[in-house]
Amino acid sequence: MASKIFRRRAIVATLVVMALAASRPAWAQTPPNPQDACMSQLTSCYYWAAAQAGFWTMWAGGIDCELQVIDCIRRAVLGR
Amino acid sequence: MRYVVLAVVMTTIAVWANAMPLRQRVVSGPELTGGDGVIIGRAQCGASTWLLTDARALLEVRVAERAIVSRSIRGFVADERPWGLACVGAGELWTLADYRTLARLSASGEVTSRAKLRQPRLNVFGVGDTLLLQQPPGAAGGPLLSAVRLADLNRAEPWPGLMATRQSSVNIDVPSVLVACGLAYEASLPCWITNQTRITVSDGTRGRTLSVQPQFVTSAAVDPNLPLWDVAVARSSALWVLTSAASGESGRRVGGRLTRSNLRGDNLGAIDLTPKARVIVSATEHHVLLLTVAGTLMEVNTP
Repeated sequence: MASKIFRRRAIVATLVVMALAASRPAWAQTPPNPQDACMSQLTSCYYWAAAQAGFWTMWAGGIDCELQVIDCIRRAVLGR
Repeated sequence: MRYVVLAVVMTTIAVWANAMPLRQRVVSGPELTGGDGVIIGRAQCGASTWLLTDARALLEVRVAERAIVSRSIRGFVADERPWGLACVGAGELWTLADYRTLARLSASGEVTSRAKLRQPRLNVFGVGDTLLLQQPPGAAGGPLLSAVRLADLNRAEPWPGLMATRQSSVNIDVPSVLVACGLAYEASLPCWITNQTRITVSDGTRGRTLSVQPQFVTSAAVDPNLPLWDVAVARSSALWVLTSAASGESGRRVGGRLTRSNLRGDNLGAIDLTPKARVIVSATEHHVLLLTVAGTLMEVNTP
């Protein structure tokens, strides 16, 4: 069960990194998208979550990773 | 024929008068410094507008006096990272202490109580005696905001207007699900999705929910990632729209241009702000008060 979750999060993290890398040229003429810097934290957070002991701790850790990324982005986007 | 000519002349005069440039004037000395932090929540309560910053400061802008009073916030625990600010009922200030906890703040900056939420929430706004909580995005077409009463925080009703869009499984786009809300007039609250230009003005009923798409937003030199910076609704269907500037002196985005509009999204006059603005503090039909990046309060008036 744990390795399945770990594998799934690793795949999501890889896809996120690939998506960000692929979309960069389109934003080259505009100010940096606040999402970029925040998303880079997600991969390492998923690895941390997947290393937690027990299914529920791992599951909750994954959700916390997603909420942390949203918090980072909202501070960059909505903070005035 | 004479009446037709008269009508045309009157209409032309009215449009010309409406579209006259706005006037700006700094009305207070620097009241804030860079150490006051980033504004992470704003709420309007009677004669004051309250601002919450990530430096754990609660700022009260006394609109009539054109003055700002700053107080330190006490009572958050170490891992709480407050976000959002709402004023509901008889001047109660509430913020999200974390994703599942609402915290009530006193006017002196003390955390006086906490309330647990069953579901995580991303932001909090207030209108009348209703708290609006932003839900994490669910299925496409689902509401992004839900309305709750203090008496039962876990009984949520969908707030009309802003819906989650379909998300690509590869290109994750968080700003497309983040909601911002501006200053309300009575029960009408303007809200928008942060990377869009469409503003929804609603009082919570479907019958009085309007969608405003101001064309002037895209024609100006705005930051395309975050075109709308702030919005305020005022009496007589006046709509003030602060559009973003590409970058600020501090590297943060700012409000660069203020446009007076209406619920049809017409441009009735605009001004490029100097200094640029951080946030709208208050708005009436002919007058707006802004907090600038220089820490001053600035008025913008119609001629």
